Amino acid sequence: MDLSTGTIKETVASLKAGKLSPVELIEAALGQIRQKKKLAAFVTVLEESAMAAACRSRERIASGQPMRLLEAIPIAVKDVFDIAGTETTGGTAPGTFPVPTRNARVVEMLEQAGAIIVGKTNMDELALGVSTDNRHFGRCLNPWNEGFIPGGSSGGSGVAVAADMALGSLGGDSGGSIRIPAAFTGLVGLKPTHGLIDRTGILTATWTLDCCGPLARNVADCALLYAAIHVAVADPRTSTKRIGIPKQYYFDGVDSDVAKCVESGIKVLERAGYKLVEVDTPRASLAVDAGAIISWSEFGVSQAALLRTGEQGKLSPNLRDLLYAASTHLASDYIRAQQARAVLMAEHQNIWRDVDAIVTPTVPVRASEVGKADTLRIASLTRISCMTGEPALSVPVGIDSNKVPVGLQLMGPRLSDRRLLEIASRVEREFIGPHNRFAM
Amino acid sequence: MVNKPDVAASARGADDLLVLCALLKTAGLPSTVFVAERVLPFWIAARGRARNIEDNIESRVIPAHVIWP
Repeated sequence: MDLSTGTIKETVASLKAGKLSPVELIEAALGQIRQKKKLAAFVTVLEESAMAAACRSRERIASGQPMRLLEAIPIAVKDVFDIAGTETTGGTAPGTFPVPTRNARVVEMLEQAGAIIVGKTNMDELALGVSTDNRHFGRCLNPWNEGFIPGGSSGGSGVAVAADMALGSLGGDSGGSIRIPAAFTGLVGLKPTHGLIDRTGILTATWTLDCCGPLARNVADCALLYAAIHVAVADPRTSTKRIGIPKQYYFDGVDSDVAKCVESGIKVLERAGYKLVEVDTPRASLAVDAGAIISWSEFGVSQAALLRTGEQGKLSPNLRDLLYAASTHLASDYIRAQQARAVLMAEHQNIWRDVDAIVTPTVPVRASEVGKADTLRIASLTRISCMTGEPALSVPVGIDSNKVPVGLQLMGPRLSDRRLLEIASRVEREFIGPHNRFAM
Repeated sequence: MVNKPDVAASARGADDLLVLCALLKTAGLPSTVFVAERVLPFWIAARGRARNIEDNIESRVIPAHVIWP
């Protein structure tokens, strides 16, 4: 069967109508994973448990039980989500962390919604990077152009969906790790409002920044995955139908072809009836330094056990050195960075009085050639919403001169996740192909 | 470690290095050479970032009514 077409909703409808069986669907996904092994999207493939789940779903449908939201849908999860009995490597050498005995809460929620986990995806070591070039599990390749990075750190989750090995995936995002791979692989990726997703059973490095969320081929699929995993809290705001264009920082030094694609996305919003207004963002650049300090300080504490137990030898030398340095960061620097964070949050609260969202490039530069990624530059626009705890998403709006997709980022106030998805759906209409996915 | 000129020169003041020396004594790092060559550059980069923040916001600025993640 062809996994490259249709939305999740249409696939569930086909299953219900008996046009497709869960076993066929999962066999097709596993077949794609085998066939596209060289893309190095997966760390662990859960073939046996996925097929067993497909058989259970087949029996369930045959017995006339109601279809669930994600019935038999093949889903991949980044290798930070615990699955009982399967090692969570976090991109480190096998054996670094103990094998979990319980599933992560979001994995339970996905399975309760009927999803079938087909495997755990490749990532940058301990989620620190934007390339998914992993020395233990291979260099993950971008299916759009294999000479360019797929983004990271949830690169395997992006590639798995972009290359039809799963119909959706979960990633983690503490500085852009969902949105960057979504942008570079032509997907929709949502970093939800901090706190709406239960992080029980997720390997955490930077707990005030970390968030997990879905990557999917279109906004509707992304919204369905999000519905399955989050705790619903109503957004108290009413729409202004106004979108903010930042005056400072976000558009500084953006690559010309990225700027062109984002500009075309912004024009779509205008045609869809949104009023575009300029907004002041003079403090945005604070996120670069403050984000790095917060991220490293929390990383140094959360992973300190790796140094104490002698497991540091399993880390790559660069990461080990960073961990040592992070473990000696000054508390006063961390506090200063949190102060900068509060300044940034206050700036955003002013912005949200006037607009529903602000629009920016997801990444200011084209996807880098493999082995040449400038991590700080690539993550320079995505880190901000992790600092503020606000939702943000990336939706594809074109391709760059290397034939790699470009993403437009929408950032909104806390709890505006669904509104961002709604705005993204307006953007998407102009760029989506006949098969409900980004196509150029 | 203060003899590494490229590294020492990038620290803004001797106080940084004194603080670091005190910290390293208790951190149990493998060796002074290891620290000088591999860890110190990262540490100094972090101090530089903190100083950038200091240069850009008033120390008394503590915004009220923000919702912390």
